[in-house]
Amino acid sequence: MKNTYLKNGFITALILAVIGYSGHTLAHSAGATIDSAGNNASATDLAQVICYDDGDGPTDHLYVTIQDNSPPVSGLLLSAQVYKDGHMTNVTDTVSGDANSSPSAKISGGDGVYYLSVSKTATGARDFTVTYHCQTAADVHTGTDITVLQVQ
Amino acid sequence: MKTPSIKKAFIGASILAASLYTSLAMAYGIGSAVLDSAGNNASATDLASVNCPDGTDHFSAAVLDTSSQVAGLLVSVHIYKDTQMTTATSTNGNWSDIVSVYGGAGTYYLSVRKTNVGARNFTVGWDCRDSNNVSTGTDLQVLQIQ
Repeated sequence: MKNTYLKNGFITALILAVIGYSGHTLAHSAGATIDSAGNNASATDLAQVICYDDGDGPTDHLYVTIQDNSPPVSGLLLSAQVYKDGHMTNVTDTVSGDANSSPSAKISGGDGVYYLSVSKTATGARDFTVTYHCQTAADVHTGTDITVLQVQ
Repeated sequence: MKTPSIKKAFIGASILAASLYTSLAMAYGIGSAVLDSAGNNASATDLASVNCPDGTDHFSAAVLDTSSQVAGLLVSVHIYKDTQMTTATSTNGNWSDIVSVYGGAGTYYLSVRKTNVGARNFTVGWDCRDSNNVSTGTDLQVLQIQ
């Protein structure tokens, strides 16, 4: 059973990540533990990412990477999914516990609301860091806000 | 490059399977397709919308990876509606768990994806159900085939 502490921790991490924004050097990353009890293979964390023109230009796409910070477990892989307006993509961190994140995934949906989720392939708690940036066609960072919808 | 025939095959299989009774035992709809047929797109995702009619309590789905097992290459199904999302993964050649989102009537999104590059054959089953687990009927529209 997910407790409030963990949920608050995830939300706090997101808020801190937004505060970490400094000029054009971005810190839109959030860390959390998914399936902290280690018994929910279907555990999914879900958030809305709102992309908008903050003066640096209109959004072309949402950029996402995921990093599984837990030690490797055979058959237990962590992925991020992005959905907007009838299009969906995903990316997996295929090497857990190292210093590298997954390759990036992008959905080109312009300004608006994107849905970003994190899930895994089996039971087991996983610590992760997800990075997300709304970017222009020239890969310049533009307005990025996040609202957490579901933490499991 | 995905060909229209694959999309047609997926849709055709979905229609044909509407009356099939499978090991899933709950499937109102079932369809098969190849994900990442070229075997070079780790992010390949197939996506459909499913309209569940009035009287629906929840939408359920499961996936079966029918390709030979490859370490680190797993196929998952996802259900999304409004502020809820869930997932299940097929392992060891078996159907995944049946997972559900309790979102009432309306549009659910059903996707299938995998964890690495490599073509995967899969079968997915889905069902809109009332609070007594009775099928309420489904209307599936394919949005994306990769």
